[in-house]
Amino acid sequence: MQIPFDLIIELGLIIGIFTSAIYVAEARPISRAVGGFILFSVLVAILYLYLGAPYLAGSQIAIYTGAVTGLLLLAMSITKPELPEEKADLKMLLGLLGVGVTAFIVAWVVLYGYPYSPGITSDAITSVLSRVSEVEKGLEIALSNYLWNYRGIDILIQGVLVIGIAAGLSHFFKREVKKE
Amino acid sequence: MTSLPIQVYFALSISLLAVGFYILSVKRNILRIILAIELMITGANMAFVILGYWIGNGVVDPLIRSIVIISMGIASIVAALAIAFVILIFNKFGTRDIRKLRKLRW
Repeated sequence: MQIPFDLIIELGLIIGIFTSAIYVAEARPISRAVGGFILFSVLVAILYLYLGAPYLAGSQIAIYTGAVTGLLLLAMSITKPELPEEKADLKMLLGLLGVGVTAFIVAWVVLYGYPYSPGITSDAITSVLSRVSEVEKGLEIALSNYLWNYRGIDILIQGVLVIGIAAGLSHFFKREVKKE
Repeated sequence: MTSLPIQVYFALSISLLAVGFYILSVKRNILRIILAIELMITGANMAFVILGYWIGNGVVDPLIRSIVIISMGIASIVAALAIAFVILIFNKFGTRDIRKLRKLRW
């Protein structure tokens, strides 16, 4: 039996994405974790490209591999010297691998494999999507009515939120005056 | 169409969320926590893209594409803000250890 080439590519991408995510979690020092994040972003971009979404792949490369990684490297260079982190613990790494693999298997079984689970089958997704489109209009009308009828409370809640944010920011940026 | 069923990709996005949650709950370095947030957002985006691929019968749905691109932009803004906070925190407290920031408690 010959394994199709597409299957090899997809499996390689999935395994690479998952492995690089675990490397981001456990790599020391943090600069290696940033390197793992670059690899992760590139692999996700290749997956998007494979799925026929080249603009998404380009955005993924530009935003994650470019902007976010650049900002992270800038923050690393500003906040030197790098603090010593706890040493890599083999047990913790193995535990994380076990947790990840178990989560993958459980999710796959629940979503697809187990015959008695409700699962996300094609029919289930179709019925949910059709119901969502029916409910959406009624929900929109109900939400707008609710917002209009209780507009006073809405404005009050917004005011409380703004005051809370302002209080939090002023608390964070307040200067400590040294007592002489 | 993909050779693998789309449920495998959903499982991958769920496991990315699990890895990000693990980092958020266990690790202490703030930069690693920012990386974890980005991992989780990428996992959520991937679930969206796979759903769009399934809806569009082999081509990712344009609505889903635009949603994911907006989500990526917001994720980059979140990362930029978080990194600004990291620099502020480092200037104020001299550490990147999230558990040493006890002055932020009430």
